[in-house]
Amino acid sequence: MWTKVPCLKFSFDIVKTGIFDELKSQPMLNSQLDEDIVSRFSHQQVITYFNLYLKNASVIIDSMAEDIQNKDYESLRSRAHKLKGSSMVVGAGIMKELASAIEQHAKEKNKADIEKFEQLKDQFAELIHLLKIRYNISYENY
Amino acid sequence: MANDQPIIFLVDDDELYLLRLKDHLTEKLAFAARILTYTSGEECLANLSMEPDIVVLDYYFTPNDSRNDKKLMNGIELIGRLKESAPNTHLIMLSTETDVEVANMAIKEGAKDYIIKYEYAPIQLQYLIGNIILNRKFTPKANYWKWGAIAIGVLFILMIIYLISGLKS
Repeated sequence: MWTKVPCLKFSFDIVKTGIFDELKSQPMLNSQLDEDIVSRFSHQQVITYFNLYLKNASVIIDSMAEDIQNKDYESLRSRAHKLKGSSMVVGAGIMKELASAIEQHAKEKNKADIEKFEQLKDQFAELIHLLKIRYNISYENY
Repeated sequence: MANDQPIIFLVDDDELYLLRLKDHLTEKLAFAARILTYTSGEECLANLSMEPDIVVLDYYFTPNDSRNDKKLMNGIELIGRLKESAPNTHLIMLSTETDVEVANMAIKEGAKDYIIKYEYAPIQLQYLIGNIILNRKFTPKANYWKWGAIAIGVLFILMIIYLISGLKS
């Protein structure tokens, strides 16, 4: 029966060997990065851009935490705006959306969206992990 | 346009965005151009002696050093200064700011184009710059015709005056 429907057999094999479980443990491989954007970069550009992105984003996120603590929402808005722009360049879609939401919240309500900021930190950690797996870019360099 | 190579200034406080834009334009523009990047309006103004053909500028500028509280001029202020010092430069604002009021202000101050910064904005900018440079290349020819026509007109008038004064005497 399997020889007549090879794709079904293949699917069955994937489930059987647990490849799905392995994929699930990967940090959002498909949604963290916009593949169409990243595929336009050369290998050298990928390394240069993501190294610079990780370096800048980590500084911005730390400063945003300070802004939240100091209740400086204008500064928070400005930093979230900057992170949104940088995330856009490298195709880090979820980071961009979260930064944009924090920027809007700070602008319209003059408040910090703590929940979104926590999500942003989590996503950043996942992105670091993903970049390590895919491109061997190491965040520990900084 | 020194040495026939257009000079393009890119002004943005985000080093990464500047690097990506410069790489994209260097790779994709159909002609060679001198592309220079600056992280603040103040830096851009300090280099205006190079007479850029095009300045692409952001709206928000924040100091890269978070401990530096010095307030930097924003894109609208920069447009005002550029219009005074370099009136022939084509100004393009490139910003994530989607507020139509900001776009209105930029155009009112003297920007010729406003592009919203999104994932594919570098491609949009590449085509826009291509068109601007193409138009500039053909504009001087039109000017030669204009000045030629004026010169012929003046000669014609002088000739008539000469003839009339000759007839009278």
